[in-house]
Amino acid sequence: MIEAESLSKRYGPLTAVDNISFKAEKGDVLGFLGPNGAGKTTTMRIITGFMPPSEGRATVAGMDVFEKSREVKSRIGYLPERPPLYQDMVVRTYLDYVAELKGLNRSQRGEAVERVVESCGIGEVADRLAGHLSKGYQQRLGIAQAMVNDPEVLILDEPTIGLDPKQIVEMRDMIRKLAGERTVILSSHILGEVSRICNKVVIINRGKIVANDTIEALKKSLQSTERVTMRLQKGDPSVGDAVEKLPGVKSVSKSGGTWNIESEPGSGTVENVAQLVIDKGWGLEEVSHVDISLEDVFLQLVRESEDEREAGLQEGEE
Amino acid sequence: MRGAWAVWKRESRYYFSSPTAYVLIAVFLIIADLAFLYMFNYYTVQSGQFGRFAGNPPFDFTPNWIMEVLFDFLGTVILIVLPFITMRLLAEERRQGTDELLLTSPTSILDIILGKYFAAITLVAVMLGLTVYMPILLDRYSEIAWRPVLMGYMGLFLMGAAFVAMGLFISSLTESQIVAGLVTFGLLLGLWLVSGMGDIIGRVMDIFAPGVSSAAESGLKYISLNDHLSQFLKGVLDTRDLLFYISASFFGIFLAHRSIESTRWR
Repeated sequence: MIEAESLSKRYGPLTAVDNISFKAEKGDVLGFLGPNGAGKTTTMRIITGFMPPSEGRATVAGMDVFEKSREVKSRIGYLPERPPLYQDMVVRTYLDYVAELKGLNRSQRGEAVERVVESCGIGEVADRLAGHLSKGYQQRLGIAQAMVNDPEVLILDEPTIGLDPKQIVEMRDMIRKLAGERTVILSSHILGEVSRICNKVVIINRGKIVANDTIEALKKSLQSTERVTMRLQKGDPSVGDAVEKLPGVKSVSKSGGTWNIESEPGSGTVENVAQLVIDKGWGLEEVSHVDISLEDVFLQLVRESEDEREAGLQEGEE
Repeated sequence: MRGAWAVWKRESRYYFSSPTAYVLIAVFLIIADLAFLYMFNYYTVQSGQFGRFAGNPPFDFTPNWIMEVLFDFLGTVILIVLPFITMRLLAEERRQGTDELLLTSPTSILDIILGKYFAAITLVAVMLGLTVYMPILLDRYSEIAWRPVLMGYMGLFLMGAAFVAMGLFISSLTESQIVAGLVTFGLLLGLWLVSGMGDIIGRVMDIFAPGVSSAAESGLKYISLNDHLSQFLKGVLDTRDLLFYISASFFGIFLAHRSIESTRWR
């Protein structure tokens, strides 16, 4: 449905997006993840036809975003990072205006406006000025304007930014509900959010893709190591060596009073460690399994890509 | 064209649902009214003098003279008021991020610009329209020739439209309304004064290079925005003047279009 083929975007000497390729099939909810300034907004702006790429091409429903811009634009609903609202317009009038810009005729517009007012839950503010709405409602109105032409493709740039925790939960539910048959791309710098709404994730950092996979696959890749922490009442110089000799254990380190043990998954490390400590009489205080969160993977991937980049830079200098 | 219509409606609604239009119209009308009163008074006193001393007035001194002088003056007032109309047209969209909505909708850039252009010249037309009572009043108590009056309105309107197109272009260059307004004012004032400059440069060049002076002078006079108004005010429709204002509008719209298009490529 949406395909980016080696997209690059340069602003003068700065490369904002560097050779990015990814694909979203019909019905996918693709999370676009990366730290601030990674190139998420630029990529989305290219897909929506707001700006052309320096290289590469983007297609929506098999049509080039720039060659068939009118056809593509009428299939896309786009919520920019800042909801594009006219402060001086009444909500309903504003939605009617957007619908007209998107080429709906008079009879379609009335229906479309009522539909999005209802589905985005802005009925109670529909007769107020957009500029007087709270941040949460402004964001909803932003989504409503993106949905008004019943688009096949929905592109949401940081839809939960600036909302309070309750609004964030509501916004996520709304996006999930609205997604339906549509293809959705949403960007975020919060991994938990993406893992809750999306089925696919593309992680980018400094304009480059560092991971492109389904959520399950990402989680699985995390489970290649199992982490265990342990605290002891009595220290003993031989603890580290003894634990390392246990089956499946890959590394042991100590920070403060806590031991961190990494091992092969399914090697029963917690049990083995507990047994060992009791046998040796070191005074077991705590031994537990640590869940590796997606957050960790994200940080790890970003860090790895930074390291590679630095290595590349150093090579360049030599 | 549906997009242009949508934009026109939204802009017109903005003008007339906010104080902007009313304040501008009020300022314009107050200045125009004062000028009308002054001219009217001057005319009655002078024509009384001519009647009493049995001399013929040195030129065609009819009530049309009032309108001609007034229109000339209104041109200046439009020049001052107009940057306030055009400065926000595109600058505001960029500042509040609604350009992302416009440029990602299936409406073309040309439609957007035309919608804005027509909305602004509609406001100019409304302003001018509200002064129509002046010639009607003159005609009620005296007699005026309508042709020069109608031509005068046409000339002022076309000139206003050309101003709007240039203001629109300037507004596409920045996201600051103040900057857009000031630059537009500077540009229009420059193009207004250039005819006076033509005279001065002509005289100076006469001394140093007698051959080129008239070319430079007429060139500068040609690009001057108000010199083309004088024929209209006399009731003469000169296609050169007509074409000048229309092509100035086209040029402004063209530049605005290019400017919006190019910001996306940067």
